Amino acid sequence: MSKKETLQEELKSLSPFLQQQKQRPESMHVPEDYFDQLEDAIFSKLESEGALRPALSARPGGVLRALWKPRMWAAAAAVAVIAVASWWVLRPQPLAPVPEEIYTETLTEDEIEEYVMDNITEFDSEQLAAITPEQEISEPANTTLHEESDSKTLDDISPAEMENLLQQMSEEELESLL
Amino acid sequence: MELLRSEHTFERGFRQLMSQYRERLYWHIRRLVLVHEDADDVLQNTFIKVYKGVLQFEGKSKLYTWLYRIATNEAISHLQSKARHASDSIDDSAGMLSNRLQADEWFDGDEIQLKLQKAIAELPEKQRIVFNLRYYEEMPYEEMSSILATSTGALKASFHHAVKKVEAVFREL
Repeated sequence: MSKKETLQEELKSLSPFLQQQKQRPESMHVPEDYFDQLEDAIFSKLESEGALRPALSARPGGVLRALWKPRMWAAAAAVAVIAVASWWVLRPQPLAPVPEEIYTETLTEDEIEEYVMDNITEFDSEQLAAITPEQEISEPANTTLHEESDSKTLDDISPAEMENLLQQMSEEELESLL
Repeated sequence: MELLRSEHTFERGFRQLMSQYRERLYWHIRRLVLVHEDADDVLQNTFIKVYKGVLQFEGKSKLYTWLYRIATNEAISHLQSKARHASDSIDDSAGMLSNRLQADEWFDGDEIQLKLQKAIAELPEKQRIVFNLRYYEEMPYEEMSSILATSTGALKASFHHAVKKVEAVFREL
């Protein structure tokens, strides 16, 4: 038994008048196309209330609109600031220019020599060798000692030669060797 | 409901929902408010509330049950609002309703049909809802029970009482 038959049976026993009235044509009507236009009317109302959800597929520029989420952009901006700051702090620093390399082309030899002599403790032997004329390096500081050692170092001489050399040296020269 | 869970498909899903339920809800509302213009307002408000709240619908009841509840509440609120505004010039809400129905261009019933609507409008609010759901929409008592949160036995009794009362009022008019 269908629900309609059930209702008819129910009405038949309760009120034959109402059962009869139920068979009559509908007295209430709706405008033509009312239901077809209803959806658009509701969406217009929602839009005017500002209650419409972003629908990506239905609007031009919908993807950009969906991406426009303030919290997301704030997070992206914070990440960008941190990245730039990190690069700035950690970027490779250029080597400090060596003054000699910068100015040698414009300085005279006398100026260079004066600078070196003023700052002699700052140079190691290789740097000195690079900027000092060869003849000045080979010039003996103590002619007495080096007359015999021009071609030989102390390690190369024989014990007899060493003995002979020591006998020729004064007391002061001996002390300076120790 | 699946389409409603994504922003990409929400509008399509909501249009489907409206398309599926608009006529049933319209006639449910129209039987209560009687006039097309009022039914249109109430139905639009109903769907706007559904639109705003559908993601909070937890699925504990059937979707149409939830929709009927919203539509019924909206229709009753509308009637109460109309009755308050008209209370100075019209003695009772039933009289106001039948007068408005008579003036509605979308009603072409004869005198008997107009009297019948007036008799139905005389019913108390909840009895009227039960009468309409059963008499016009032929809804099973079990479905009515889930919408109105009332036992089927109480609903049967209410309908039987409403039928007797409508017939009696009709005879008096």
